[in-house]
Amino acid sequence: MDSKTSASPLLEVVDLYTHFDTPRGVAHAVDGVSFRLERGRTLGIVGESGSGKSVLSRTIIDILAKDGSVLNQGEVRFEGRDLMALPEKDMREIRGREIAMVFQDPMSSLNPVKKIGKQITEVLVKRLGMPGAEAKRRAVELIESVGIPDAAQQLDRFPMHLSGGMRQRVAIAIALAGEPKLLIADEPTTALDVTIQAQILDLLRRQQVERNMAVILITHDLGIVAQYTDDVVVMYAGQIVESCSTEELIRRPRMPYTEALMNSAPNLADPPHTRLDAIPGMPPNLLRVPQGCRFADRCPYAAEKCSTEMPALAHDEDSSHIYACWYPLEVKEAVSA
Amino acid sequence: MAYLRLKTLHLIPVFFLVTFASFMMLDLLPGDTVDAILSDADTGEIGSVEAREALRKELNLDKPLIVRYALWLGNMVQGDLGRSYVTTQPVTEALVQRIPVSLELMIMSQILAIAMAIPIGIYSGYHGGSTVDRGISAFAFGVLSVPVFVAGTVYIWVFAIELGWLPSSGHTDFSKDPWGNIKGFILPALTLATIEFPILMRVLRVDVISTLQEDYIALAKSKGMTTWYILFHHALRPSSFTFVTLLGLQIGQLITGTVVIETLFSIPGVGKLLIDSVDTRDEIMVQGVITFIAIVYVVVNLLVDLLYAVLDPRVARRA
Ligand SMILES: Nc1ncnc2c1ncn2[C@@H]1O[C@H](COP(=O)(O)OP(=O)(O)OP(=O)(O)O)[C@@H](O)[C@H]1O
Ligand code: SF4
Ligand SMILES: [Mg+2]
Repeated sequence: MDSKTSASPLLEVVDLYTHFDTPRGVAHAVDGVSFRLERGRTLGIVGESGSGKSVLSRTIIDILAKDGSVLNQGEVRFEGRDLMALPEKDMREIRGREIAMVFQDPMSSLNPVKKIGKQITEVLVKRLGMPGAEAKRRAVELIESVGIPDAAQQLDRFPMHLSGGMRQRVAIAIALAGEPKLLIADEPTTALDVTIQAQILDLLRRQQVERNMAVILITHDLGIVAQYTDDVVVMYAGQIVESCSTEELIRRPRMPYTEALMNSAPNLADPPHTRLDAIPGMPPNLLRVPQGCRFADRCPYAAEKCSTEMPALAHDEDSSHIYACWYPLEVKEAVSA
Repeated sequence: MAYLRLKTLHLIPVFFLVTFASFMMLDLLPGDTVDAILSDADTGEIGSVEAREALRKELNLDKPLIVRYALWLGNMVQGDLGRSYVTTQPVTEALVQRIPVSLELMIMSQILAIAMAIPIGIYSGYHGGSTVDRGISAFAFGVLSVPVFVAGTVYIWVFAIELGWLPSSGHTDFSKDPWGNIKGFILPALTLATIEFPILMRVLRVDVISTLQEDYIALAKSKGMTTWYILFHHALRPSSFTFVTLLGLQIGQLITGTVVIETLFSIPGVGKLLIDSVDTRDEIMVQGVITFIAIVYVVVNLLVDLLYAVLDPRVARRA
């Protein structure tokens, strides 16, 4: 047995900040986020629109603008190395090879003027140093492996020739091309029909198991979290407000925001694209975040303390379930889905 | 390609309008063509009445304007633009002699303009809002306000007179002295490029800035591609539609510029032929040159449209 239980995880984010210096002020898009992810596991990140999920993922893979408007702080430890301290040249080696990404909207994430084959092979040729002919063969295999028919013919087609679901499969093939250890999927199915959603998520899971790849699955949808993730992080206004195993979260949410998300979760009977807008009120303006609990304005349990002091992330004894709330929900029985 | 057919149909009336308008304007010019041809500058004689009438008939000058236009049009479609009143050289022959000269000048100037605009535009767009970007923009605005003959004169003064590197005027046959030929074209082409590249650069810069916001650029970054590769292989093509449109739109300006430049640098191209023919009141030659320019304009417009389809497969499908 390995006695080193604290061996470094695949990814460990420590007190990460990403602020945007805008003409109207500093936007606190990611505000002190910490979490860890073990090899081969799936971490869900869930939260409303604007909570900082995309900014967090783009910070991890370091693709935000480098013009001085983005202020970063904290650590992104990948296999023990702090990516935030890496020079751009070394960081480029990480992107695509170690960490790859799938974006929300396959209509805009593929280059419209580049053939699909080229968009896959450029990873193989530029990053893996494969010769052109071999890269083509490999691209066909990749296209096949993500379930697109007539793989060989697809190489010469442009994204516009494919449906949204097919495009997202191509995007996944691109991400898999570099055989990454971590795949960040930023709402990979939000732009797709429900029937296609399940296919894409199943595909991701199959690939993950086959390749023993870790996945960060970003979503609005707690239903997806419940079905596809091992652990989960709930984000609100740039911060983590609750984090634990998925099972635990579904069974015993402690943070009122998580509860609100659950109550507003779309029913399976709802038409596709029903958005999570059922929580009354608006998230706080990230340019002027309140000093107390950021959910206080909308929280049905809020008391005076909530708007003056920010609750720190804490956990109960004998539990790794962490949450930030002065008045956590009582542990109750399972919330039916 | 239905779109292209429509566009062609659209351009045909433009062509007729231009040729007819020039026909009419030449007719309205004061003075008599017959005088211009028959009068002897030294003696002041203007020829006998019979000779004048004969010439007038021969040139169809006794017929109404619209008839003359129809006759000219009939010949034109058969490739006959008439003969020069002054030198009796067929207009088409004069054009054929001079087209390669103008073409070389235009192509060289376009290559120079594009070669300046693309790297500077991309650099400026990539560093959008930085001090360097603002400096480049200010410089481009400055250059934009310089008239073409001023730019030409400055270049002549610096590179021909002060430094003596390049000839200030004249033209050498490529077959006789290729290097001499190219040397003669450098300053005129550079002058044309100088007045054209700032706008090209500016539109490319704006489009690069918006392209770099696209998700597919984020995806290219997340694949670990280098900045250089992303800019030139992912961002340039989707950012070049306005650029290419402008190249086409600027053809008019380029033609005007060529006329000025050929005169300034004494280059025997189509532009100089036009100016010289206006000087000698060689109406049929002027008409022929204008017709030729109109045809070039129309054809280039169509080529630009074809280029869209090459640049963006989505246009090809829509078309
Ligand atoms: N370049 C930027 N400059 C300034 N603010 C930004 C920038 N990018 C993102 N933001 C802000 O950061 C906040 C978080 O945005 P983010 O895209 O991460 O949200 P999200 O959780 O991914 O939302 P969604 O579910 O809609 O994708 C938003 O308020 C957004 O306006
Ligand atoms: S700290 Fe107060 S306002 Fe914030 S979630 Fe808990 S109860 Fe609600
Ligand atoms: Mg997002």
